[in-house]
Amino acid sequence: MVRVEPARYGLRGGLALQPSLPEPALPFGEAPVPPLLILPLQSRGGEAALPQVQVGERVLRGQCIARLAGPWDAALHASSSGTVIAIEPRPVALHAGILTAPCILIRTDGADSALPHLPPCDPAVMDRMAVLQRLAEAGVVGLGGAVFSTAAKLACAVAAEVDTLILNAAECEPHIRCDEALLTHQAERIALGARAIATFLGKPQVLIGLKETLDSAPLVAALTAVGLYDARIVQVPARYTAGAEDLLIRLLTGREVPRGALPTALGCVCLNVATIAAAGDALLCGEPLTSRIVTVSGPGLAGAANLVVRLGTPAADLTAACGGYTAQASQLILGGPMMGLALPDDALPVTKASQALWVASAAQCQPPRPVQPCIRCGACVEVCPVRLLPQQLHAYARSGDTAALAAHALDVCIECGCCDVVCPSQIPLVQTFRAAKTELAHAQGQDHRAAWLKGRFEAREARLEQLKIQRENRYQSARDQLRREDPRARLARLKARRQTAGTPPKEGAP
Amino acid sequence: MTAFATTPAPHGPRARPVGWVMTQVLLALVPGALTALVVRGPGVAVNLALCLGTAYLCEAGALGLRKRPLGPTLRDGSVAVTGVLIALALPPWLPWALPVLGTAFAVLFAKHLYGGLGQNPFNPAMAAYAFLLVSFPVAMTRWPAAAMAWDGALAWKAWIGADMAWDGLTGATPLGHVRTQLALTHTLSEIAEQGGPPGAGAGLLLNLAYGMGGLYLLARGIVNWRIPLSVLGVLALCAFSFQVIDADRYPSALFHLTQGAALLGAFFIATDPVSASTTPRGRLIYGAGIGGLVYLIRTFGAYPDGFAFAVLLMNLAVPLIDRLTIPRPYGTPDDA
Repeated sequence: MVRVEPARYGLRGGLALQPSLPEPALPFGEAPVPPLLILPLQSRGGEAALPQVQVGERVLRGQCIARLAGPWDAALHASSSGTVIAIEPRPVALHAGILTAPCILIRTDGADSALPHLPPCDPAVMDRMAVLQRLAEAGVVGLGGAVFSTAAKLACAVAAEVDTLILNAAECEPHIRCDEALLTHQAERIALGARAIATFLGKPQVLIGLKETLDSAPLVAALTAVGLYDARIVQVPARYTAGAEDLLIRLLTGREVPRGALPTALGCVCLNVATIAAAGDALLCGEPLTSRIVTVSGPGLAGAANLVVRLGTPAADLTAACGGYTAQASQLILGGPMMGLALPDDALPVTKASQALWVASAAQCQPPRPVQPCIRCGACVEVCPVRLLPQQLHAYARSGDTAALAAHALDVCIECGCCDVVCPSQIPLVQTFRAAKTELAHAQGQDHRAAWLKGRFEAREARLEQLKIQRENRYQSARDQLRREDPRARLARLKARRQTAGTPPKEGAP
Repeated sequence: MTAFATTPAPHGPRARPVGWVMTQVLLALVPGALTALVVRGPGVAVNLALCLGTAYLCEAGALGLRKRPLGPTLRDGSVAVTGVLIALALPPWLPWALPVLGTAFAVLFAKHLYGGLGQNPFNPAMAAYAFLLVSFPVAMTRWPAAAMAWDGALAWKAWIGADMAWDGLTGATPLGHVRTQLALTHTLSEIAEQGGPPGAGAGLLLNLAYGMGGLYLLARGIVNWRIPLSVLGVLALCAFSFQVIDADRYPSALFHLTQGAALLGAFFIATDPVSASTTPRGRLIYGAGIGGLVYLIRTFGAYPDGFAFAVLLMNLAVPLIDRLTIPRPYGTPDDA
């Protein structure tokens, strides 16, 4: 029997941002295919993917249009059929902010014709390499927002021989309800994906961190139907930051991922439920990732819904699908209010990282108040889910004290924003910490380089010293040899050399 | 295409500003201030007016000298809290120069010389109190006679000057009275037989009023429970332990908790965030230190009440406490 149990371990800090009772369900449906798809070639930092299509080329849904060079890097697919009309730089929403990145623009033809699906690649019969390759080929990445390649993550998990597969259904940020829709309407996709990945990993323990306000019945039924009887559903508090990977792992297992390490260090691998569903589609149906569920809501919209959205759909098409803007619309947030990105306009597209589109009212998004001095009230310390001292970090960041920043574990900060919203002095702490992290990495890089150069210099000095000693030894041994030589033999040798010196040296002689 | 305003995350409503926090603190002081007005007479109002006026004048002057904008800082109310706390800590009917001098010292020396709001290592109100107590020990210990104060009406009559043959009466505070009596080798039961320390009822009432305000701050989440709990807990624990040793020489925990500056200090002074420890464990240690020092000073020290000195001494220890109580960040081993 699939067990449903409350979390045995608590969450430290965080914020209660959501109602503690289940919210009324949002309508669930499919967003129309937009006339224009904008598919950014960059999803994380680092290199942009290389286009595999030409401008003017006709593409089908599910056709690979761009890929990266790495073996486990996820490919990008056309999310509907149409014609590539341009490959050009456009503003896109990345984790770091709005940046300009190359995008493939597809004018859709309305037919939505698809490439035939690939043959299934069931981990029960296929070897691990083939499975990983399929996941990368199908473009499966973390749909919880990190968009890290699932193939790369699982390759790492296999290497570490993990014994626990954790599914993240904690969905802790308010206004993000895409996983809720998936759990309610497509629980069987999650179950199938979970079984496939569990088989791939060699039958690990399956733990599902489910937000306590969500109904577990559909998931229990689906897990039972696919025979994952040993899976355990752990109800986690509907509290913000419960869904952060490292914090969810502590909620479920009571153990903490060591600083600077990956969850695999604890024998865990954690995947979002939407990711596992996409992985299941890729492995069992041979279907590449071309759409995702996005929650479109907010007081600035006439309606609200969880929509299955083609990747690359501009935000404007989604807001239109929800009845358009109301007079209250003041900000367009991609993601949730805590970690989301405010979009400058609604032409930006939905990507694999987009969980929600939230149109906030002016009352919800107050302009930042003037910053006042820190009064050390410690509200930030109380809410920090990773037990940092934000007020100290802020002071050190302002004075540029990188040594103190490192000692106070700035790198542990998950940029959740809890400290920021409780600060009575309105200090933009998250922004400060982001900048400070970059500076710290730079300083540590410089330290590293300085240490490397020093090491190189010292090695050279030692080498020269060694050479000098060797030379001394050689001279000494030569002198000793000369001293030991019979004087007559030496005289004969010198005479012989004088004679040869008169004649021109032979070719090849030194 | 519709354009939108962009701001950095997090979005959504922000915490109430510092000004709101300070207003709540002032609001929580209202029951205490009103009770003080009743039991100690109109001198309290004079103190309040003098301290508040001086506080705002000095703050404006200091900001002007430092070329800082006046508006936001004057509006945040932090200087009003300092002024009110000094006024409530001082005995009424002091020569007018003393509250003025003390408040000026608090704002100019204890606050702005260190860099203004958020930078002062010492609690400004307590620095001012200690400064006045050391500089003007006689004036600072002349409390209106407790019996008269308890009567309330008498204190007001004395002020109006109606039917009074004298200008006023002064006497010891309950803590001072007990202390003097004990020094004269009287026992607590003897003091109790004589009707207890005069004014103990007024002290109790006053402390209850401050306690009410403190509970309000706790309920609104403005004050964290750690400091008040550890101050009062350790004070009570010390008092209880000594009472067990000799009930005739050491007053009860209840007496200690309801007399002197106990509740005003625990909720409004020790909790001053700027000069207190900020780590969760650090706050417990900081509060415990204050509670212990208050008991030591009251029982064995040179002053009947020791809140100001206890707070200032623990302020000194805050950098060390903070350094030694850094919480273990997520994912780091215990010894780090």
